Amino acid sequence: MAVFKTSQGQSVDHFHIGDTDFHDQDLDAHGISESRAIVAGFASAVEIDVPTLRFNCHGFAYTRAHGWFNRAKPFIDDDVTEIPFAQARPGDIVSYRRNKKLKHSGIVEQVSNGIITKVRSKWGGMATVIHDLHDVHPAYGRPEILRRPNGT
Amino acid sequence: MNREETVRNALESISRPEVHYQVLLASTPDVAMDIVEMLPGVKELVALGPEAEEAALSLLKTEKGISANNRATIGLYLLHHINTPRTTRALADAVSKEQFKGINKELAASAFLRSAGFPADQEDLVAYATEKAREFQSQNSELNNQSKTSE
Repeated sequence: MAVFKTSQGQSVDHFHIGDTDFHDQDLDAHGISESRAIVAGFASAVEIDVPTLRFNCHGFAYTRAHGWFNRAKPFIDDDVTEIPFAQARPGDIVSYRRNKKLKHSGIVEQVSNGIITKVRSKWGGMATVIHDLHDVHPAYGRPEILRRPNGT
Repeated sequence: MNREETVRNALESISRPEVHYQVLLASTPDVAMDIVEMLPGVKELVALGPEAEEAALSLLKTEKGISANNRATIGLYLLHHINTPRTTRALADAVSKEQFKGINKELAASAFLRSAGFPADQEDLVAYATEKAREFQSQNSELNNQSKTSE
């Protein structure tokens, strides 16, 4: 398992395609097609990058799509600072939570009159999409915490 | 609807790509469990308990590819809720042989630990589960040998 470090030097385990404990290969044409069919069921979702197993939502939001990260806590501890939703601006990171547990991460794409109108996020092994703040699978929960990358 | 019909309908539902591909929306094992819980047919199988043992195990086949992987995720979810001696042995076998990858590796590890009565809150869950699964396999093998000898 490869290691990636936070800004404070904390190691974060993650995966790449071909790693011993991860998928041998990326999605094939059938997998991409089936994934797209599911994403198409969300009214606001617009694909901006193809479905892939190369990275997931946390990897997209905190590491510029470096790899697949099962845990985001080290990045939350070291690389970002919580801010009120009223101060949202593009580039901030939204934490979606369900039952007080982090389920999904996304990057604020668009803010209008102080309200987040669009989010860019990677939906598991599916596509990277731009979508309305609340238009996500119910398992992702609700957008509950907003954080800003330190130094931005 | 009788048990056979319930199982057949649930498995038919799970085998549809528009159903099992939803698993691929998960970024983590935790979210995979939440997604599977919402899939049609899953609650019905959980409600059957040990009677759905065969159905759950049938989803763990060792085929390659994302579809098989998705169905295995659903099977592993079911095995977090259906606990029989046979499912424990099947999980021990899968974990000790490191049959699964990605999210399923951690789901299999936690399912085995719960099923066999070990704590499932270890920091390195997969390594701990693999060690315990191999011990379990070894002990089971010794017990089998002893019972054969005494026959």
